[in-house]
Amino acid sequence: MIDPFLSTPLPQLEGVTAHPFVQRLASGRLPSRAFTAWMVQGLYINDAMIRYQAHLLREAPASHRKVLAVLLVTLCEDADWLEEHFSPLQHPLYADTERYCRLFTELERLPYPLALALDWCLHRSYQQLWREAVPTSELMEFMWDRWASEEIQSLMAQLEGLVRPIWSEVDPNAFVPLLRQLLRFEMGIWAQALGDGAPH
Amino acid sequence: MMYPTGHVQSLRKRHAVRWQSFAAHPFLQRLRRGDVPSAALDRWLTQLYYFDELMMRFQLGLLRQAPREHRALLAQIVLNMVEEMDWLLEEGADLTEAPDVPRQAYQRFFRDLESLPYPHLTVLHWATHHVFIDALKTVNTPDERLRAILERWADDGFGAILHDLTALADEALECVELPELDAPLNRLFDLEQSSWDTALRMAEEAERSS
Repeated sequence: MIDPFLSTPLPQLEGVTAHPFVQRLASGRLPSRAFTAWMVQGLYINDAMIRYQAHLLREAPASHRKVLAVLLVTLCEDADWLEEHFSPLQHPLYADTERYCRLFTELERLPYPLALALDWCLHRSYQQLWREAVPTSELMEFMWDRWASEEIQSLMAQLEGLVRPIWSEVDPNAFVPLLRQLLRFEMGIWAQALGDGAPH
Repeated sequence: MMYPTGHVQSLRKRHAVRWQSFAAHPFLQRLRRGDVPSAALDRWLTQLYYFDELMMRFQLGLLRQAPREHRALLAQIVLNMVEEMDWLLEEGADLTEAPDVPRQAYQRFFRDLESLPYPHLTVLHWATHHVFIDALKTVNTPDERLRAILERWADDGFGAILHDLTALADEALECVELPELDAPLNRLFDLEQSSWDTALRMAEEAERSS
C-alpha cells in the first residue's frame, strides 16, 4: 500500500464505496439493465483507456514497459469482449462518459509519474469494485472472474510496484483534483445507469 | 488458420528483386559462416534494441487509431517487441552506445509515415517486419543469441502473430493501390540496405581492431 496516497483525504473516494451503484453491485442487487447500461458506457471508456495506456507505454522507461504492455493486452481483450456482448445501440452515450473520455486525452499532457499514478488508481478501484461484487448474471460473472482473478490482482500489484518508487514525484495538488474529477464522472455514469436500470 | 494472402503476394512480387536482395547481403553471409566477431554482434544487437524501440512507438501510434477488432493483435505485437527489448537488455545491449545513422533515419521514416492513412500504415507495418525477418530467417547460424532471436520469430512463436498481421495487411490492400506504396517501400528498402551495410562495417571494424 502507498501510505502517502492512503493518508490523503479524499472525500470523493469515500463517496465511491457509499454510492448506491457500488452498494448494489456488492450485494447482488444491481439490476441487469443497469449493468448493461454501465457496460455500454464501458465500450467508450475502454477505447479512451486503451489510447491512454498506449500513450503511457510510449512515455514509459524500459523497466515499466512489460507491465504496461500486459495491461494494454488485457484492456484490448476486454474491449473485444464488450464489443461481443454489448452494443452502443442498447444505450446512448452519457454526457459524463463523454466528459470522462475527453479528460483522458487531456491527461496525456501530464508528467509521466502523475499520469501513471492516476492510471494505477483507476485500475485499482475498478479491480476492487469487481472483487467485492456479487455477480447475478453470466455476463457479470465473466467480468468478476476476470477482474477478481489472481492474474489481474498480480498485474495490479506490479502496477503498484511501478508507482511506489516514483510516488514522491507526484504532486498531490495536481493528483487529488484530477482523481476527484474522474471519480465524479464515474459516479455520474453509475447514477445514470442505475436510473436507466430502474423498472419503468 | 489459413488466410487469403493474394494481395500481399502481389505486393511482394512487385518488389521481389529488392525484397529478396537482403538475404544475399555480405553481412548475412558472414552470419551464416559464423564469421562476425562477437563485439560486432554485440553492437548489432544494441542497434536492434533501438530499432525495436522505434517500431514499438510506431505500433502504439497505429494501435491508437486502429479499429477495435485490430487492437488485441496490435497489443500482442507490442508486448512481443517489449519482451524482445527486455531480452536484448539481458543479453547486454549497451545503451551507452548511440543509435547509428540508419536508426536515426528509421526514426524519421516512422515519423513521416504518421501522415499516411491507416490501411497504408497497416501494410507498411507488416512489410517492415517481413523485410527484416525474411532475410534473417535465411541464416542458419551457430551463434546462440541469433538462434534465440530466430526461435522467438519462429512460426510457433511470434511468427504466428505475424501471420495474423499478414491477414490484416492483405485486407488493407483491398483499399490501397499498389503504386501508392512504392515510395515508402523503396525508402524502407534503402533503410534496410544501409542498416545491413552498417552492420557489415561494424564487423570489419571489429576485425581490424582485434
